[in-house]
Amino acid sequence: MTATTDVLPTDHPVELAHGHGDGGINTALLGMLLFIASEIMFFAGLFAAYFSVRAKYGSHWPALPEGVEFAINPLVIIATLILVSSSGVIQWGLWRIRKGDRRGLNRAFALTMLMGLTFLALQATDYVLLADEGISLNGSIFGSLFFTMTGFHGAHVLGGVIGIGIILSRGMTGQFSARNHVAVEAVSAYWHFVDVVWIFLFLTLYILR
Amino acid sequence: MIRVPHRARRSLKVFAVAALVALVAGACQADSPGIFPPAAVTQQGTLTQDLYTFVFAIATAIFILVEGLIVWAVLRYRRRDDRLPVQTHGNLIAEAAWTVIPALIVIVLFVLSMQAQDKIEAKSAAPDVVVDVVGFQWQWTIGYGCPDSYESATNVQPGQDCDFALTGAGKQGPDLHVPTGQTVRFRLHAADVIHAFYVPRFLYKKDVIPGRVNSFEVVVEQPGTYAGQCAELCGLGHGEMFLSLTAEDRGAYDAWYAAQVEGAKATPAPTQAGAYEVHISATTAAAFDQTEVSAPADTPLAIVFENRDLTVQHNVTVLKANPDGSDAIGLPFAQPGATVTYQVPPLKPGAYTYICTIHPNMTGTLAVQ
Amino acid sequence: MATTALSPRAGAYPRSRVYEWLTTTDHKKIGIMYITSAYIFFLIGGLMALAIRTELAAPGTQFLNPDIFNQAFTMHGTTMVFFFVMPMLAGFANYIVPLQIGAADMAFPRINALSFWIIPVSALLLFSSFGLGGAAAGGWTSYTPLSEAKYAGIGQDFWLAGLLLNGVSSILGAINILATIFKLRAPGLTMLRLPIFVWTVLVTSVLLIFAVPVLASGLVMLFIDRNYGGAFFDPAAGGDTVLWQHVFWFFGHPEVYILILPAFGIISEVLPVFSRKPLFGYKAFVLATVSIGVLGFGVWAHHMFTTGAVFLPFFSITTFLISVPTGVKMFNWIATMWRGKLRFTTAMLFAVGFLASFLIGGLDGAFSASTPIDFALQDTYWIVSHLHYVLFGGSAFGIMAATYYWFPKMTGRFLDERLGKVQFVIMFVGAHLTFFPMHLLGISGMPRRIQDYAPNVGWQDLNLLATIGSYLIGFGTLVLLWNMFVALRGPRTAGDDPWDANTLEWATTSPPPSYNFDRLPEIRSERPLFDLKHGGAGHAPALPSGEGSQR
Repeated sequence: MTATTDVLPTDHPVELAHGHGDGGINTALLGMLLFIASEIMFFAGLFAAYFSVRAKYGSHWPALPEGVEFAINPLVIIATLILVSSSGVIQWGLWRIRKGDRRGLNRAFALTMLMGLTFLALQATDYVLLADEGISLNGSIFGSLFFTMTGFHGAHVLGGVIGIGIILSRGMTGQFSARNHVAVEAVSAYWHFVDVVWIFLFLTLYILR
Repeated sequence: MIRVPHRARRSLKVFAVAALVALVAGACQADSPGIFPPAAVTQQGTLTQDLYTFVFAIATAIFILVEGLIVWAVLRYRRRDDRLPVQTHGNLIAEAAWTVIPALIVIVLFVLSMQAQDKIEAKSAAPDVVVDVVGFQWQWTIGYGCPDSYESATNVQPGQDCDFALTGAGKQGPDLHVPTGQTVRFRLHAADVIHAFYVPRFLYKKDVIPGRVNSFEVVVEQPGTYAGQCAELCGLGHGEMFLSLTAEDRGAYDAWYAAQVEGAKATPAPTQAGAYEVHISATTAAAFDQTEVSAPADTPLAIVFENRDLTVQHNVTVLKANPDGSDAIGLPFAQPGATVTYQVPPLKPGAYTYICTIHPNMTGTLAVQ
Repeated sequence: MATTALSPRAGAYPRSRVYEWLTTTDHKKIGIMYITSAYIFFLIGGLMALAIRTELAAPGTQFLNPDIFNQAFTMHGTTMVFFFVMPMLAGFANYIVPLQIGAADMAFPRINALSFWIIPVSALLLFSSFGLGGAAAGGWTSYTPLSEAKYAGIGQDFWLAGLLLNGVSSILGAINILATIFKLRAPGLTMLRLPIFVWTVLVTSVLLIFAVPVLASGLVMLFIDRNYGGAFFDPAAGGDTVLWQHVFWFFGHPEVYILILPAFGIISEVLPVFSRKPLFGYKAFVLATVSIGVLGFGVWAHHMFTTGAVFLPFFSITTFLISVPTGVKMFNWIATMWRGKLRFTTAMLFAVGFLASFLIGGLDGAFSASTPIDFALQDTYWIVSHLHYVLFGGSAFGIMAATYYWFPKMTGRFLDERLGKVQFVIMFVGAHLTFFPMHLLGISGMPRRIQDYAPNVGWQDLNLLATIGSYLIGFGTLVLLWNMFVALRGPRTAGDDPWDANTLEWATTSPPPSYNFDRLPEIRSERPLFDLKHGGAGHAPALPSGEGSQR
């Protein structure tokens, strides 16, 4: 570089990064992961509330009113299996588009969407059955916690389903390729998060109780 | 850029510091609030006071050192020319020193604090006196001689279960007595929201929390009467939830106790013959169920008050109903679910306002004709 | 070869300036909107403060009954925390961070715009409660059961909804900042060459992502308690009322570091420039900032020492320990000034005023960390004094310093330095006059959040003094507003680098073009512009001596 009286060197053009120049994680995906971190903390608050109340009650937990029992419903086990395997399906779809297989992507996302909706339907059915048994949001502290935690999870599943729907509609118009599919990465990550939260919820509310 | 003359800037800073010193010095007079707490009257409070003094000494030393460095730097290193000063980036020794030394100081403070805390929070196996305190919006009820179940009972009715109960009316809180030189345990029960039992001369407070029973012990060494008030926001009347605590020698305390027990046993005055009954009830703290009642003039009145509110105490106080113009305060308070009859002397025709002393938003009009 | 000069407003379709500001995704415009709206809320919160202080100036009810008074201090705290300090710091971060890292904008410009516009909507929710039955009145901390449906009216629901929405803005903003800092740094700008302001904003953003959602969970639970018969915090229904405090303070304590760390960053920009020395102990400073962030999650129950429901020793030791990294910073700042050549611009005055005031607020904390002392001082005016020393003497002074420092960059004009110095003196004296007496009031037993006090307990003189101080602060604010008003009408005289500063935002015009930089200097240290002007970190001086640097 020759000596120059210019204040700023001219042979270093400004490299204004657009998110995929210098390697490392894609910016939009990073944003989604940070968002997922914040969502994890939201559920962490609810879980902390659950465990602290449970500890306070000790052996009396779940402290349901007289004659009310909380038993695990076979529907819930089916729903869990469906949601967990949907993670496998969506991941397969992601692998396919990484190889450029648009059809595989669309099929996988369509199936995932179906599985997500099925999970929600089974969840809703479980809610009705629990209500019949006398477990409700306002009937007991266990009910408050149970319905709040699973309810917000269900809302997140719905959000994920909508996201999957957007990917599906964009995918069916051919907008994704092996090199360009950040949105698919992001939505897949979100769906895995939703699944992992469910696993913790299932273990905490239904198994551990 | 405009430059404020150095002298003006320096004198401004000196003024500010001087003003602060004057403020502090002026505040160090005996009666007015000072930078030291008022003299503690309990054994436990004395520990806190000593700890405070120690922390204060260290904080003052640090304050003088650091503020001194700031003032010195500001005065000494004003720009006088345009040469760049030496571009020091750091100094490992200095940085290590001002990390390690403060860490050691705070660890010492922590250890001393824990030692004091353990003594202050200690509970003896058998306290000499147990006082049960119920905090509710916006008054205190104090129970003496309450059953052992009160150690953990959250819903309590001292008026019913204890030897006697004291309460106040409006800004006049109850005056509870304790013996000096003996261990007094306070058990705190909340009837509605969180309150806090705070006696500044104890240098201590404890929250009064619904759903749990907090307790603490003191040994009062200094006889006297000490003011206290609620120290946790609890609604509209938070700033007027007072109490007073009188500490006296055991003999005087026993005499006071006996008098209170006698008073509690005394039967309430029978309803005067020919008294006209006025029925008032309340179901919530928002309002009386009846906002307009009437009664004949020149007739003794018996206000039969049914407290249908199952969570909060209420009463009926008729304003300016006494012959001397003062308010006929309804005492005792009606417990949740209870019915109490209040005597009111004969009234001249007119409209009289009645309120609940605890919840003055509950009002009604007594039309006397 | 012909070159075409692009005009920023090609005139193909005329757009009104209002439309431009309403739809902009430019981080600089968004930053200015954040800052402007934050100052508006500062005025609103300040008027509430003046009302409170006027009421407390003497015993007896002056003009605020307990109902309105309780709403006033609740909304004062809520406004100042969520609508003044947080958006103000977000605004400066928005404007300055992309510039300081040599980026053209934030990573997600449209989400940036969304984050800002959520603020006025959430404010609408919150403040509409005043006209719809009364605002929340349980303190900004909203403890249960006082905030449950039985004791608190619909204003509490507006408070919950408003803060939930406001929290979304904060979380989105934090995600944006982190993605920007991690992904959009100019070449050569390694993490350990980041300006300290960027570091503090980074750690603040991490805190936001971990803390605000926990608040959201608490707000949601309380909303369910109040409106759907939930039993989370209602002891009568089997809930745990202290749980609210745990959830709230798990957010609430990191929140106070969210409120102060960017101010630390601002001071760390201003002091080196006006001492003409680098920040002393850069690496230690970064480590201290990260430590405060981490430790800040381990102290929350020191707000709950008097509940009898927390493990005192753990929270006491963490609280004591967190003073160590803060003290390190204090000494680093003083060492930065030491043997420097100090220029007392208004920004520098506020920075020094920050040091003097924050020290007091920090030392207050050492008292409260000691549990026996806290048993005496909790919920008294001692705490009010402490919190205002760190939030006003700390955050607000930092904001004033930032305002005077970066106003020329944002508008191309200087704020008048003479007026600025007047404002500084008035505010400095006013702040200490208002908040120092509160130490004494608290020690002598005056609880907080009371609407009135008896005439015979000796509190009225100090209360009157505090009220006078508060009016001084108000007057100082008027001086600032006047200063801004006058300055904005003048011509753009500031130039690129009016302060002879160190960091990249001064390597472009004032204000910068929409794309921020034509060219960037080489980056070899945390002071790329300084290196360029004075030949540091491997540069030969690029300029003949004396040319180009501001004297």
